[in-house]
Amino acid sequence: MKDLVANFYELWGGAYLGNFSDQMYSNDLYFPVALYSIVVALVLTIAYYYIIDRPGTAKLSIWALNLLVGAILSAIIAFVSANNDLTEIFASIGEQVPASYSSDMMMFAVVNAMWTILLMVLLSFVLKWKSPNSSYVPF
Amino acid sequence: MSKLYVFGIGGTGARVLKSLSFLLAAGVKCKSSSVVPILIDPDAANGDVNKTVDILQRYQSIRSKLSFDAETSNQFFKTEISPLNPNFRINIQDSKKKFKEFIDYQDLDKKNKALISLLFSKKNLNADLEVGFKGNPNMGSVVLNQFNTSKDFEDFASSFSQGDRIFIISSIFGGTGAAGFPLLLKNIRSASPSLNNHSLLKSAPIGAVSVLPYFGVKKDNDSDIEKSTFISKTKAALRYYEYGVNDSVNSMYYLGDKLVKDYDNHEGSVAQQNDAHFIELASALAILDFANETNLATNKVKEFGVANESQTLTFNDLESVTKADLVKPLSKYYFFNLYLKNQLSNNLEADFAKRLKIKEPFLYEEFYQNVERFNDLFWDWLNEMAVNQRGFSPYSLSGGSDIFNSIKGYKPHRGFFEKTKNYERITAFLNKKAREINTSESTEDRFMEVFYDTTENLMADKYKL
Repeated sequence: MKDLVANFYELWGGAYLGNFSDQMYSNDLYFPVALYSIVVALVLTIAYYYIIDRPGTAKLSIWALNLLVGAILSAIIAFVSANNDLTEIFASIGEQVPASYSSDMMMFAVVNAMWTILLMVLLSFVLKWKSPNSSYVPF
Repeated sequence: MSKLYVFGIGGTGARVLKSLSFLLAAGVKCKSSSVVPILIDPDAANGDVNKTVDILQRYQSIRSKLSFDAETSNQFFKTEISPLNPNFRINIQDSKKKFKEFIDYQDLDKKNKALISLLFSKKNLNADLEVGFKGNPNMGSVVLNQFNTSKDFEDFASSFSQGDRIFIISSIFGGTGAAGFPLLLKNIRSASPSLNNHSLLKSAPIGAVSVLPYFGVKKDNDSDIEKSTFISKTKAALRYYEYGVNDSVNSMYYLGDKLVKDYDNHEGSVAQQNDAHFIELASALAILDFANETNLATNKVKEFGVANESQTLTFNDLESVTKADLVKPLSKYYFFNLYLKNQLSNNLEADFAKRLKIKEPFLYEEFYQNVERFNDLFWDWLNEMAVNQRGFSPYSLSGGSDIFNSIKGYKPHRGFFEKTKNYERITAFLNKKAREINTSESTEDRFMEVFYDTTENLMADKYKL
């Protein structure tokens, strides 16, 4: 499971970020981020199709805006979670998080946002059918 | 499958048939499965008659695309309108002559000419029949006496069957209607043995509405129509009806109003296009009352009244039975019309439109174009009645921030958790109803069914109707 989640974030080597990725993998930091992002994607998709759902929101633009919100939230979660956890880990050995990790954390946040968008699209196909007003969104 | 043959005589007859078309489109209850409108007017270019023919043809075209069975909940356009001939009119022969040519005045001997000059003025004799009888029933009674031998009348007799009913609309204060009604009644009640089904015609259930003066005309020295004669003509005709008509009809309806508006004085032709009037709507209700009447064994004479005699009537000014007949179906059709006019083309991406497969080309198909035009005429009808005297203005037609506030005297209910309002609420109902629709039906059937069910829900949700 740990390897699978890591492969998703490192894109099977395509987004391997050296020390940063090693730290994330060895301290098992990918999993909580994945979990939070799944919850965010699920909550936002359900909210779109069943809670805020009304004829006025059944538009491709509103649906896309919902994806954007999901992407931004999951990017923030990824960045903040990685930053907090790594700061704690490095502090425990009396060191500071290397400056180069900032750009790595940004990259990690972008990858997480991308997976969240993909997940929200997949969840949309599963959840849209019973929506009272948005069963034809995105199509 | 009982039919109701409705003879609309003259301009008033045409305008009442127009009101009847809108009531039937809205789904006001009519036990006859089919209505056969027959217009009788020698004035071929009469604006009112031509407008009514247009409305009837559009209704018929819309209805032909819809199917109804035990499963169908839709009542919009449920009653069939079947024409006796394509233009819904009985052709009046020789109506393009002058009256004196029609009666062969030149060939009469001296004694008969003297008799004719007692009965008809010089103006009468020189009158052109093409624009009707211009308020002269003495001319109308001569000219219209020939329609029992016309092919259209023979076709009517041939198509008449057991269980069918006949209704005659006429005004008592004009020319065509006042002359045509007693003649038509006589021709049916003493149907010639040469006609098919003549015995059925003789005993047919017949209802009739005779409309008493409900409008005036402005003074015009060049016109033969004079408002001051309306009352005296009405009195004379009523005296005749008391003995010559009332006993021959199963249900006789008399309608009138003391509050009248003077219209522009047009003797006929294209220019004769009077605004719609509440009396015409009430007359159309008389037709439906007759169609729905179960006991026709005893002859009845009926009048119509309102609860409050206000200058401009709303639903709350009507008596409870009339109100119950009208408020729900008319309001449903009113919202159907509003949505189509203001929203549908912008909502083709909505859930219900996708589910019903209503795409832009549908809006250009003959069916939708007819609905759209019919609805425009429905809107004109409401507007005209609203500004007429006596007015009937049950809706605030000028629009407003909340469309549900537009039924005068009805406060819309608003739920605490209601998250949609105005047209969006209707779209939400449409989306919900479209899910329940039978997908095997045609697009036209599904379209009408969904809008009917949605407006039904709307009435319950907003007005507890």
